[in-house]
Amino acid sequence: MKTMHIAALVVATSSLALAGSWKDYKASFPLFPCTDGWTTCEVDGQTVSPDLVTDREGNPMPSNMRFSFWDFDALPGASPFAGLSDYDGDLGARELKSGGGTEAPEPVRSRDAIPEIPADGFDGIADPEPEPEDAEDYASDAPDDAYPVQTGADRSAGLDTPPAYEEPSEPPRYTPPSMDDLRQARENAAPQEPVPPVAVTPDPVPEPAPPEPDPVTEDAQASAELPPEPPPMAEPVNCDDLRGLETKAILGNLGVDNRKCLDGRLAGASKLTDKDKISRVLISDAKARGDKADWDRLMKRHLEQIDRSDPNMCLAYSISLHKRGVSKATQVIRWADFALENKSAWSGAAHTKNVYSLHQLKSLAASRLWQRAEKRFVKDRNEKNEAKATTYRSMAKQASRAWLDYAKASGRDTKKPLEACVSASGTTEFCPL
Amino acid sequence: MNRAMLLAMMMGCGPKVATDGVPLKVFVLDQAGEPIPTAVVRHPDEADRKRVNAATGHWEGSVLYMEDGSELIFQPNMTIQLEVSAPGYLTKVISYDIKKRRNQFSVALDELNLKADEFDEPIIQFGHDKKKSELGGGAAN
Repeated sequence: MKTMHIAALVVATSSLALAGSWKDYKASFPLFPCTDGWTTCEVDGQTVSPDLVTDREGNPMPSNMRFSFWDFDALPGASPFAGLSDYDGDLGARELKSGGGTEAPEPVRSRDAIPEIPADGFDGIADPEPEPEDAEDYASDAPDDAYPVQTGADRSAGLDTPPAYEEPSEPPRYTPPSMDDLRQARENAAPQEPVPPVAVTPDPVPEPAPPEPDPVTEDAQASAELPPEPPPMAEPVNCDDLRGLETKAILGNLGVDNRKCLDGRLAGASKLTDKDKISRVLISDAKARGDKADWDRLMKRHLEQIDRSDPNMCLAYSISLHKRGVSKATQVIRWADFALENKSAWSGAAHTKNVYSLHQLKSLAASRLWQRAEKRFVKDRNEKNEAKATTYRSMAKQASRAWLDYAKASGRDTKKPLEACVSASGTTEFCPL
Repeated sequence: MNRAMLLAMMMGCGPKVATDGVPLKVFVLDQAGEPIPTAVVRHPDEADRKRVNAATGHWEGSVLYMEDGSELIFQPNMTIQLEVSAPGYLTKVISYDIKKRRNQFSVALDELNLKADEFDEPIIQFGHDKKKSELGGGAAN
């Protein structure tokens, strides 16, 4: 008796243990069987839902299967391009949009339509490897006229550009073939003739107009998302008016842009007179700014490359070089000599004063060179250093003597020229008053 | 006789007594008392300049050779004139009375005060075109 109870219990529980769980049947009940992604739809009057559908033989099939497993019969989900089902319920005051015409509208490609396939099949995209002859040709079983076949434009005709997109006036509707149509088409299909690939334009669904956004909210959001406004574009600098820039140059307010512009003009000017004018503006600006290095650079460029006939510029540059020490002493003498060549440009007291200064500059520069040469000779007593010391001493003598002579002739103070002359010559006899 | 000859020979082999002149030693220094290594000493009638010792700044001599080939031998109670100069220093002309001995002295030179900031920089004018003069000129009729 006890054994019978145990056996009955085992039999009762084993069936439950061997039974599968709900997960094992999940594939049989798809949540979204409809081709348009919905859970329930109507195809040819038949409601398609996650529940099982039956084929012609009455065999249950998952509702998302396109063909029957047993006899390859078309099921409601055969067409993957079925549109939304018509709503046949009560619309109330609302009404459906109609096509407006009796004729069937031309299929219209949407922006992201499937590319047209050439009429000659998949030659362009076929697998390069040849297919074996005994390979099963599934396409041969497909019906020829089952679908309104659209063939794309003949690409061999040289059409390179894609057809222009046309905005549809009315969204065409696509009616999927019914089950009977599919069956009829399969039965009438010619087995030898391959079916060209089907290019079916999906049913474009007009997008509903977006709701009117709140302007305040939209503006606020847009302003928050927009990047900061870029800085305004710099206006091109016009430096053609030199007279106008002279005022700024005197104050040192020419600015980087104007200086660059003037530099560009100077580089491109063909006339030396134009270069001279531009260079003078730049020099004046550098002087007013107190940029000594820039002033020296501009002066050197002007005197070396543009013009050295202005004794004022030569004198100013010579004074500047003199302040830089003995290393520039030869250049001081050089530019002082250039200034003396054009001393006739001065007149009156300016002439006397400037010429006196030029002689003084030459004398001091030569004296510096002499001192340096003497120190080198004392450190390293050789003929070369001695010759240099002798040469620079002679130069200092001559320059100081010229300074002294001009001081006497112009009636200016002769004390310093005399000291310099006696120092260089070593004797008062060479430097008579 | 032999003794006399020996004595004469011994006297001849002895050191020569300097009879050219009284030695004179001049130290050339700057205002800080440091020797000026580049200084020179010269007599006004002399052609050459004599450089001082670069280490000590002194010059020493007892005779000078003039431009005309004559010699000036330093003798006591003689007054000589010397020009002491150096690059960058004011030249000094000194007169010295030579004594019998210990004739050495120093000369301090002053630096030349030639400041660079004495110069007045000229004003650089802008390059303006000058108007053509309408007065006179032209070819002579």
